[in-house]
Amino acid sequence: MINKANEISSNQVFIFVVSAQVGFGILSMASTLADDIGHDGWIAIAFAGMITALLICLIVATLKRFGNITIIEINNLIFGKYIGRIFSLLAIAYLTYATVLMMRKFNDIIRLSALRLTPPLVLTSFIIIPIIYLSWYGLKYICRYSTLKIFLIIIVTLYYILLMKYFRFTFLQPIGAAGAAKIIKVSFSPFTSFIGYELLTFIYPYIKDKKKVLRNTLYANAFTVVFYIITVAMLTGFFGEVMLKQLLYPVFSLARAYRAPVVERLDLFFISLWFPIMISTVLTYYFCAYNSIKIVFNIENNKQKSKLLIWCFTIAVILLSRLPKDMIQLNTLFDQLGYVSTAYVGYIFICYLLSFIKRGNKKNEKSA
Amino acid sequence: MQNLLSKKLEDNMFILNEKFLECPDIKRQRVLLKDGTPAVIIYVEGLTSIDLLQRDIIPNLLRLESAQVFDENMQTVRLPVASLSLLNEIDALISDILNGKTAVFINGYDIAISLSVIKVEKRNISEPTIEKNVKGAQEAFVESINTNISILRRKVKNNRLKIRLLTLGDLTNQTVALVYIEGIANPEIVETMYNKIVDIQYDGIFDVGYIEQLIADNQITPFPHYLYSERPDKTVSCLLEGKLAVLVDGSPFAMLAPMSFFSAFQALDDYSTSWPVGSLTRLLRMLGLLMALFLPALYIAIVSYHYYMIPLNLLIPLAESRARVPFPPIIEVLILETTLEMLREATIRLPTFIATSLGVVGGLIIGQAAVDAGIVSNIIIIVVAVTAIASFLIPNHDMALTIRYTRFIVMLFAAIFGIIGVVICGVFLLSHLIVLESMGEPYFKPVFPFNRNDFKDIMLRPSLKRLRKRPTLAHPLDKTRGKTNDKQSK
Repeated sequence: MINKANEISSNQVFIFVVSAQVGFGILSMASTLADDIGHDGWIAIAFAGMITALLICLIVATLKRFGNITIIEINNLIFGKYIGRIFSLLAIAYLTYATVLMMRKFNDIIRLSALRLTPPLVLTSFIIIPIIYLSWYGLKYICRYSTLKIFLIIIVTLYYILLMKYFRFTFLQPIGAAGAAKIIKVSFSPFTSFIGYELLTFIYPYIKDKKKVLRNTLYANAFTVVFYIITVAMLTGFFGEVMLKQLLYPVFSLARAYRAPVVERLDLFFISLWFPIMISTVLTYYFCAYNSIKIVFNIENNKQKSKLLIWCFTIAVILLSRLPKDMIQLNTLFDQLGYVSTAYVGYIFICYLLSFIKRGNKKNEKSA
Repeated sequence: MQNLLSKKLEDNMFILNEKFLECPDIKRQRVLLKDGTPAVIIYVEGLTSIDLLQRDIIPNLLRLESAQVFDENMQTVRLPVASLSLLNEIDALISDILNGKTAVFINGYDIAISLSVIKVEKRNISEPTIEKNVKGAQEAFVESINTNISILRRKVKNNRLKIRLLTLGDLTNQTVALVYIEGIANPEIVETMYNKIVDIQYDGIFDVGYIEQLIADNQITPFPHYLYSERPDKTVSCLLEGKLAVLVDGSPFAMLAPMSFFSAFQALDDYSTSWPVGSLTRLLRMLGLLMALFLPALYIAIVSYHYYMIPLNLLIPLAESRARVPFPPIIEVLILETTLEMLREATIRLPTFIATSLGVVGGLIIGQAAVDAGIVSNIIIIVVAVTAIASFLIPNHDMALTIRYTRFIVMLFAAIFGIIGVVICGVFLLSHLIVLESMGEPYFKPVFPFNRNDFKDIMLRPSLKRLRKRPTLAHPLDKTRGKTNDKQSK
């Protein structure tokens, strides 16, 4: 039986997917792209968006084939109880890995932009509070909260208008200078910034109206792509590719460029806008991990055990997020996260193929 | 113990005397009918109109023979009274007597007459004291539930205004009324509310606030679950949105449910003036909400951590004034804010003649004297004063209190984590508001989850012509206002 607090409408799928996608990748994506292909980064993003759209179709097709179950139950169905459980635990490990890295990155960004001296453990324990709170109450509330994110993204985009007078179109020209082959090759790198759609495999049964899932997920992906293209084009046109290469978080550097008439520095407010955005990204991964553990150990309706689990999980996330030694190691791990998620999507593809064999077996059994 | 009356008057009196032992206010008067049959009149002194009893009931009773009192079918009695009932259960009779009715027992009959000649001492309908309005009606509910219901009936002259009566308080036996408009209010919500109220087990209900706390969905929250109003016009306007009103005997407030966070920021004056003015007032209030919550916290965060955000011209006088203060900003703000809250709380409960002198004392603390003494800086006084004014903008008393206390939590975290503390507290507050539900309806409704029709009446107040649709919060059956729709629905 599905908990009512987890039930979401198909419109909320849009919010959920955007929420899972936009967050950390975009902060440093422009400079990575500038390093790779100069000023044509935005074209690569458009390509990456298209690839992602294809993968989304694949995932939704797989989920549709199995009906009303999550990846955990799909594992059990295909591989049997024991091997399936191992695969499920691997999937959960992936989610936890993503949560931990994001948590750490969030922490580092705060330390970089506002609080240099606060002990990291204290800071992490503090910023995780709203995440625990919303995860405890369920998916419905997470999606409601994430609606805020859509508004914030629009505000961030509007902020760019303030800086339009410094925007130089010549920085983006000549369009396509890097060459088609290179752009397509590089477009697999921003592709990792689009991760988030794969969470659909964990929340699929909670969606009430499944007809519009594919459409809304694709819309969400399109929304993300448009936001990314605008951001990268803006950053390239503002800083120029040479300058862009040297910046760690160009989105924040952009914020510092604006001089407001009364307030000395508006950038802190702008950066503050990003904190709720990042929280909701961590939130989606955190919830999926927590909820999947509940399903695997079959304690969905046990409040006492769920409470114990959420505390243990939180403590684990906080402690694990201290493991990466420094920012360089963290960035390497973050890059690897992209590969892991790609591998996960590949695994879903395998599941899709296996589903035909399984179905075939069943048919054989019936005919026999 | 037997529950039915017996034919012998003495037996009945024996039971009643035992029940009403040491109740000197319950008068038992023995009279003789025309044929000499003894009868007893029982009533509560102070709840019954003695004039009417002496003038109309007793003389007529004495003129009758015992056989003439009741008609042939034992349906009614030959007494000039507007409302009466015939009862044969002792418990029902006792409850009637305690509610102010007069009971007449006649020897030879196992049935008693319960007459309604009630006259309760009550306060006159007066001006609202908590929810003041510039335009609109200047009347407020009173303590008597009957008067309150009559006020509502006077405002809604329609048989669709339905009132369900029930009794609450295991000991005090108070009347509670659940008021709604049939055809607009959603029957599901009415039933839920009715069942919730019926289930209440408590000895006495002294205010509608008791009911709220006993039936609230989420027990761990500082936010009010339901709206309170002492204004009949506001109550009626909520009834027209499909909400329910709960009245309790003894409380001059109506409880209105379900409620959304934003309905605490709406006042009737917004609707009675022109819409541009009403919209500006709304915006002012929303700004007030944000300032009341975050202004002192932002001050603390910026002064303690992010001083580079302050323009240089302002930074110098700020630094000068801060240099004389020995405390960190959080202590400084806490001193002033706590004093202000004490002052506010003290003025509510003090007799008016002392309250005036309190104002003078308060002016000293939150003023130049405190600055001269070197306890606080100049700017913080302005910050605290502006915050106080902003918090007084919130029209709903409960909500204003909650916001005022929540501010302290935000301030504490701002002192520890700077602007991050403010942001995370804001996010947590938002999460909490999103999780909250009032009668199963999302508390933060028109915003998260978003509803376009309701949203336009949140930050702004569109013209009445554009507010044809009722808010969807209470899921009204009749979705549009106005007559054309009314005809269709019939």
